[in-house]
Amino acid sequence: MEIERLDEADAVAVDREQADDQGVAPPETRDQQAYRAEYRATVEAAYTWDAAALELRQAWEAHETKWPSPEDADRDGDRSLNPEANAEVERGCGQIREIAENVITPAMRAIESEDPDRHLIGLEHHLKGTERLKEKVAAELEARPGLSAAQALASVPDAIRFTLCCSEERYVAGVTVALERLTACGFELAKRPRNSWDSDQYKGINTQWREPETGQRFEVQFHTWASFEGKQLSHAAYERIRNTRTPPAELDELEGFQRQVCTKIPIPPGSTEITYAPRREHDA
Amino acid sequence: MMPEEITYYALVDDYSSREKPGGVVRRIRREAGQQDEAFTGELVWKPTWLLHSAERGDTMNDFYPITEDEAMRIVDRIRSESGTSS
Repeated sequence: MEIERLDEADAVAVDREQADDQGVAPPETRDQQAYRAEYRATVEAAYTWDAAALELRQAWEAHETKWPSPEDADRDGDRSLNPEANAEVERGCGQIREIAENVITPAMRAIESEDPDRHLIGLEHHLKGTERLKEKVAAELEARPGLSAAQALASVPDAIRFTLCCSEERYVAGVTVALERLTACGFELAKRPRNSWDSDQYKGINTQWREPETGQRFEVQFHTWASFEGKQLSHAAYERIRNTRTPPAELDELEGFQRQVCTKIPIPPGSTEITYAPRREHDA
Repeated sequence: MMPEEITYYALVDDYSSREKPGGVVRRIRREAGQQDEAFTGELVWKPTWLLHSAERGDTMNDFYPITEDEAMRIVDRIRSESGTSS
């Protein structure tokens, strides 16, 4: 990024003799002040997310050097599903895939195409893997006594998931319109959106929707490019946090790393205030 | 030495409510670090990542900070519903 420098002719000569006599630095001229402010703003703007991302990758590499990767907790068998629950999830995965391909994904592509500033990213990962689904169901069954595998699977919000990336400048408008379009498509908001823009662990908005014919849940995340990259950058840290074999001392540092990532992500104007309640038919 | 600090959370999902939470999770902070645990159907506390998942935007469960007294009431209810008294 070029830094525009003031013409030397604009600079005013400083009375150095006077300053030396008095032992006081001469006051800056207004042009010099303006120049410094402009220069500072330019330098700060030049410290882009790309530069921050590079630093964060280096910080993660340093963490991995300090903390070797823990054993995969899932290999210990403690968190596997019983045969009945396992079969329930496997059955469900087929149905989920069909609903995604025939109903939800086409609708999301249509919503994306309506706004050039809004993009679906990571679409190749829009279906949660079967093993990851089993992990989630197993974790839920463990923490939620009395729940059945079918109930746990039905309430997984992100078996089907999408990420819409909006520009920072038009984030609020982009998110608001997308939410309205999802509602207009007939999808039902299953829960109040989780707005994490003021969180120190994660930045973005996660929404949970229901396809009315089948009741199938799906998730739509709203990010800027920086917050999406931040999520990707901190994913490995999150995976370690999820691993019950990770030492408690490392957990503190992992949370610290997520916090570090979040501090670098620019907050789109107005993003922390975004809430959404769908308009009902009888509302004026 | 840093004393152990425990924060309890009511777990509310699609099949429960804030008035009758579906489960209880605790975050234990010690000198050596922190650990999250859920009171399970096996009637013991076991490590869980669900609270961290929610902190990372996951909307499957809502977690509400609660007092130790309320947490123990949820634990007692889970025990009684499993047919075992505390």
